[in-house]
Amino acid sequence: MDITDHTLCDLADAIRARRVSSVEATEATLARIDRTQPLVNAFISIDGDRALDAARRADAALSRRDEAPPLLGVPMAHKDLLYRKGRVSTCGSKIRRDAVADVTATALERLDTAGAIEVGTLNMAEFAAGGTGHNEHFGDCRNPWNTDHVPGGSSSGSAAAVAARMVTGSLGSDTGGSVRIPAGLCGVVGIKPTDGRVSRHGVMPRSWATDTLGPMARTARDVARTMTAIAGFDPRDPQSSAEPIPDYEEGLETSLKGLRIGVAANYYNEDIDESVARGMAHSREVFRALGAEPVEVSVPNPALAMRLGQLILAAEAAALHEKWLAERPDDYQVAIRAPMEPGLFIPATRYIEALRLRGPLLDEFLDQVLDRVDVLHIPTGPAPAPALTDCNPASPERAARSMGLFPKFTRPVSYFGLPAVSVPCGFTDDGLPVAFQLVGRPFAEARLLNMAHLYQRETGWHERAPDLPVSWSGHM
Amino acid sequence: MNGNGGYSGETVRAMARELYGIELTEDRAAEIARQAAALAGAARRAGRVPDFDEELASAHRALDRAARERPGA
Repeated sequence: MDITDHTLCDLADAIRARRVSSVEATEATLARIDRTQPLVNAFISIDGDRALDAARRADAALSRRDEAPPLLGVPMAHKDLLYRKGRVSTCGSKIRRDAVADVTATALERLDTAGAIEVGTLNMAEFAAGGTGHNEHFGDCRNPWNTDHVPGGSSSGSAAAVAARMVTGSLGSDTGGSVRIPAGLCGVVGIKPTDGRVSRHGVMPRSWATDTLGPMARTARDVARTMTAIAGFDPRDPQSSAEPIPDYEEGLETSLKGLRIGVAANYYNEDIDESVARGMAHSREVFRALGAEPVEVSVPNPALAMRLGQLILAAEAAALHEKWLAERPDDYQVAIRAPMEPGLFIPATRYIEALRLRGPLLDEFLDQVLDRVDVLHIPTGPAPAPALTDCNPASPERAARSMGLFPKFTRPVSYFGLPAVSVPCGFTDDGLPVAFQLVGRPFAEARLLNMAHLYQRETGWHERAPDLPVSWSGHM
Repeated sequence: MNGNGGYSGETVRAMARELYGIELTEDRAAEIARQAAALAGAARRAGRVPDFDEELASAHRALDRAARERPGA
């Protein structure tokens, strides 16, 4: 087996057991990136020398002691909006192309502590403001399952790099679906944690109210291990929660017997592709066989939460970008700048109303849905990945036709601040992945990952690999 | 303000110039006004006015409260 075929946890465990060295793993990763990057364009920067130095240090550390941190020597890469002091973070933009960070993101510090290695930074929609993966400044990111199709966004490179087996795990950010949509379209697991669960300190903001940071990987176990490394209170993020965090990996085998899984009787079962409907029905039966009880629930109309989330996002993004919108308008892609400008003209009273309604509307959603069932099982998106040419932001009306329905499935969850995990649940006849998401109660990430893990154990969609050039021939 | 809870195109154009130093064509200002009104109108169409005592950070309070009262299963 090629080193890059291993999942994050398998690779971490192999390094700890000294079956493979971190240097070997990093060399294999860099070779894979070298071969695959021209096809997928998942990376904005690659720093092989730094990664290999870190790998040598990891191997040396392991030779001096028996105990090792959980991700020691494992190569990873992250969306290029997580700052590392002294390094450029482009945020996928021309405007920040040379911006050197003066802080390191808390999430990166915690991954450093866990022993992970960073091999580079990952492509993304400009300023995390697009849902497809198009990027004029650094080139469009492509879906590894079919490079004529989009990977989804805004964390396009984070999903594509994991799906293409360029890295075993990555971090992305999710403000309205930016982890879940690309994870779903690229066939990897991605989690949007509860607001406040993972620190956003040192991460370029898009919306202070609704930004979250979450990991992507091929398996729920990988995501659980990464979550355990990065989650928890951080005084440097004003919205950080002090709720205690579990070891997410420990609860993965918990039985689902008697668990009530919500099946949407309205809205989320409408306008979906046949391949998605098939994946939803099959996954429901898998959960039933695992002991969960599907329960039909009527969900509130997502349109209101979606629009209020959009209002908050527009106002906050405009406030963040006001200076550059005035001084450097031509340095934005038109398709990124144009939707941002209306945010400058939203009355403050409306913005405050949208913020204040979050609590009452969250309570309503919990009363109507998550008091009746333990989790809600809905599609991550209505369809598989559209073709790049069908949703080019340069043709906004065409793009809206192919991607316009996706936010209905993700943005309301962001407005409520709830956790949700996207899990691959099959493929179209043309070989593109489809996915479901599980939406949970506040801070229920452990339960969501438990369900995702048991589902993957029964199915094995995550074991398929896209048909891309084979990497370095080293074996473990 | 227009009836939808947003500003008119003319106002948007003046605000863009005065507040932000951005020059907009009449057509673009009208389009932005339409989009901003559609966004702002969402809060109006919510059909409810928040209680006077509801706090701005209510979502985070609701999340923390729910974590205590409705355990994560």
